[in-house]
Amino acid sequence: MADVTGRDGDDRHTTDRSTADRAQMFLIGGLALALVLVVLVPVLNSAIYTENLATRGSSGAGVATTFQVRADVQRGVSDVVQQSNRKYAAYADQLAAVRAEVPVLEALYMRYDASDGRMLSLRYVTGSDEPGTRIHQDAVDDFRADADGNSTDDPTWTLVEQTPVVRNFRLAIPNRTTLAGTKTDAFRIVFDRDPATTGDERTVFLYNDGGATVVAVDGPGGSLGECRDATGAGTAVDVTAATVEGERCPALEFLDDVPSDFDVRYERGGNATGTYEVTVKRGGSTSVPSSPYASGNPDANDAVYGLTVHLYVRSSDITYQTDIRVAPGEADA
Amino acid sequence: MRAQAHTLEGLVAGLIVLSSLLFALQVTAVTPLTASTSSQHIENQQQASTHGLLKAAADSGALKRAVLYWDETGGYFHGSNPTGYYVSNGELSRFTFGRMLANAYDARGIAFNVHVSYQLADGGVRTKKLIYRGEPSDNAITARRWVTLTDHDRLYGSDEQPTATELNSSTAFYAPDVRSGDLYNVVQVEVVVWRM
Repeated sequence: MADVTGRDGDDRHTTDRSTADRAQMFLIGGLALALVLVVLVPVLNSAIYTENLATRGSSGAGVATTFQVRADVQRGVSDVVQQSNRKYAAYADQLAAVRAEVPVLEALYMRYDASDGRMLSLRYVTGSDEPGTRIHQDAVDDFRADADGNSTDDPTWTLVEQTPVVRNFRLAIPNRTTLAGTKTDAFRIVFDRDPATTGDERTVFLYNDGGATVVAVDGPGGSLGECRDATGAGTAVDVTAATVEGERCPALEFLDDVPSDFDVRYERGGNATGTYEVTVKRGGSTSVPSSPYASGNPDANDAVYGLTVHLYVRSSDITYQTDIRVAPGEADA
Repeated sequence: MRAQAHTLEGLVAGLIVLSSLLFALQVTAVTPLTASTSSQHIENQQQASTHGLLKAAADSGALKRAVLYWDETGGYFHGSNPTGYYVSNGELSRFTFGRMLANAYDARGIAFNVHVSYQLADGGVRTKKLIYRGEPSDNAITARRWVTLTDHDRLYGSDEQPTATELNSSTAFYAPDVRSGDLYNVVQVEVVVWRM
């Protein structure tokens, strides 16, 4: 008889062992899969938290709002300065009016900020006022004035001598047919550092080239460019803001390059008709001639050129203080 | 006996895998920056663009013109009768500030409200709607700007040109003259922006 029992027993033993091994493989395989899934979690989370930390800004502290307060305060005090310059004739009255309005502005601004938990303090910095002169022609007329006092208007005359800086220099020509037709005959505004020498001036030409107003600028090194405006019947030019009819004119951005203490002169003033205004700062060597303004057109009044206010903003997150220079219409304001 | 043990081991292995899957899915962090239509990134972006738009409007004078775009005879903003505020794009295109807002936000499915607050002589603050397009969502942002009004500022007509009426001689303007000097009032323009 064949010995079947032993082999059968061996087979069963082997089968039992391998079956038992496979069952443990299920468990180990399950555990390995679970481990992989759990390890994936911190990997994903670290990527998410890194992105979160990396994109955190400081905006929670109210930085943008503080800068908004600064800009709005500067604009508000500028409006008050411009109002006072027009309302009062004497410099002392204008300055006193602005100084009296600063605490009023502070109270009005503070009422909006108090509800946000922010405190605001606005003070005029004593002694920071800058006297100036506002030269303006409000009635539409040609751009001549009587410079030598002989009762006839001269086409070439100096508005102010040796001023350190000007602001709010605006001209309005309501009808461009009153302008000359060529650049050589054009009305020009000359910014001259030293009247005794030539070649160091910057000149702004205004003329009518076939239905389009041309604003051309020449400097010591040649032409600095030009801008044209063909819209409507007239043109408004803002020299300090460097715009022509509200559009930016890069050629007019030369005022920063003019060295300090320059003369402002009109030449061929008969070749333009309109209104203009400019506020000049009275520096140490500035002199405003009296005879062009004796008739009242154009007019030269005392004006506050600029002043400085001190702003202090405080909230639970941020403390900010700065001196703000207020000079409405200045080229780099 | 062994078969039942094997079945049990198989069940336990399956349970371990399933519970680890559940654990992994629950523990993964959903932060405010997770991409969605209301994430923090979108709020920051809207805040920055609204600040920029308000600054551009204030610098160019469009904001002051919008605040003074008042019909003195009727006692409301030009063309906003009978509600007193603007809703549609056609109404907004009358003035520059409305056009700026519509150009910046309408094509992107972002809605905006504009509220104008002014002060009263007794110290209170009152708010008036300028543009109203519904209740903002929970993820709306606000940005604000102050406009200082002086006695000699002029009201603007429906063509956005200055009229001859100065503020201190106007009778129907919404903000009162709260100070006796040259100052008239300080007005706060608040823009609320949210994604629709």
